[in-house]
Amino acid sequence: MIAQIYVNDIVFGGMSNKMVQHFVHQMKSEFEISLVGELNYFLGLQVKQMEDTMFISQSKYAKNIVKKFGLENSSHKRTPATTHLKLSKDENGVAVDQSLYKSMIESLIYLTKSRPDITFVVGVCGRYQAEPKMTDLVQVKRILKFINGTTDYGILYSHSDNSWLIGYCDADWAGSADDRKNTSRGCFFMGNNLVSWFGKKQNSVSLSTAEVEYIAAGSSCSQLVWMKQMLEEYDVQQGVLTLYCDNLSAINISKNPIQHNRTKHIDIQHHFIRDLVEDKVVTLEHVTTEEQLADIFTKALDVKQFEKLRRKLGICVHEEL
Amino acid sequence: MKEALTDDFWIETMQEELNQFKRSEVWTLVPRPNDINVIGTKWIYKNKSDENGTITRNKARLVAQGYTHVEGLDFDETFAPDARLESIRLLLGVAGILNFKLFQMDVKSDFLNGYLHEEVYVEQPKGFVEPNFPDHVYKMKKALYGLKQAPGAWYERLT
Repeated sequence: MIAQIYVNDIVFGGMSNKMVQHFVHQMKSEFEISLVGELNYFLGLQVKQMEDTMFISQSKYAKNIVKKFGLENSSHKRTPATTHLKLSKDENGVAVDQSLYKSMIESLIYLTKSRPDITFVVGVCGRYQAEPKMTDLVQVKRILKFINGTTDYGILYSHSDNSWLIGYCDADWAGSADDRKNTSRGCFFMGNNLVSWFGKKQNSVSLSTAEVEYIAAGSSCSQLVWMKQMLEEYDVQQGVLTLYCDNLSAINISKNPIQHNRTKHIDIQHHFIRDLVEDKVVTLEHVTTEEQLADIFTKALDVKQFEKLRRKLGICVHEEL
Repeated sequence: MKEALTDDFWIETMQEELNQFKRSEVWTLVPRPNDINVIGTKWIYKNKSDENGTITRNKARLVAQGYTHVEGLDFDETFAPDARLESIRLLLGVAGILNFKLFQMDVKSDFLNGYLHEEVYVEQPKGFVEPNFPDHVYKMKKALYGLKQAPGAWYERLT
């Protein structure tokens, strides 16, 4: 029996029907309860519970925003961005209406709750909110056109053989061309269920890709450890957490406590990952670039790779919808 | 804000909120204390809508200015994890794997159920100042939205 409290909303469930009934009864006697029912809409997410799977989406919201910006009759795009997505400011471009641009970005940010496949490109476009140019607006509209063809997509949660937590981490090397800072990215699964993902600009300018990946691995480790702790509260135990990383040098830094020239400047705060590896809380494993699921959060992909990673993240249309 | 204060409809919803405070004995009007910081209040207007975007009810909520949040800053952090969403997805993951159904319930007048243990004073809300005691402040008995103590007071009642 698990109950998660969100201010005055409580989401709960459990293996034993009797305990669930008891909980409802108990709550009703203590508080004024206005609504008890199957979870179907929560924090802006539509939740569909089937026999052995669950599906979250924001399809109604997605349709609304496409319509709001007048793109419901536009051609569908298969990816949210072209592979040559521009990553720097367009100094000489034609300025466009900032409030329109901002409101598009805001609407899309809200949609990323159930659509991690647009997280990366929405983040890139979001950087130009201060002075949006025509090229930026064209790109944001492309995201909306992509959404127009995929409004019913969401994340599927299903039964899987194991409940192990795994993570994929990656970083984009000076991905923000304007300030040369790097972004850590990662996505995290329980079994094959996508639970969370993040993108966070690193505070420092790094000297090597290994260092950048190493910092990303550090952020991802703390996320995994947080998830492990949450699960322990739910009485779901975890073994060694696995973090996949496509950079061998970063993996080596985590395993090798010897300071050498290339790593001695890395801030001590990033080295807590070594303790986690040594204590066998986390293990860093290598993953080939093709199998790097976090890639969808790091760069604009071609159709084939995009659709493959999207499928692996569990982002799909539910057949019954 | 100014518009709302002159709009009959919103005045009514604000009055409703204050009446609710009176019924639940949320606060009492007292002379301004000398040595204690008094927290500002402000009105938040909200059109609640369902998943189709249809407005289902309008609500004016008086909140304490417990936090200052500057919008537009730290945009790069927007994708930093939202703990509520992460934990709900984690819960979905668990329920998916262990194969059980999830339910939801909604507790009414939420924060008003929580009692405060510390002394907290707030300013009288703009537009609803008692004419006889304009410099008085409210001493809180129960928590108000936006107070750092509010969630704690409510969670305490739950456990």
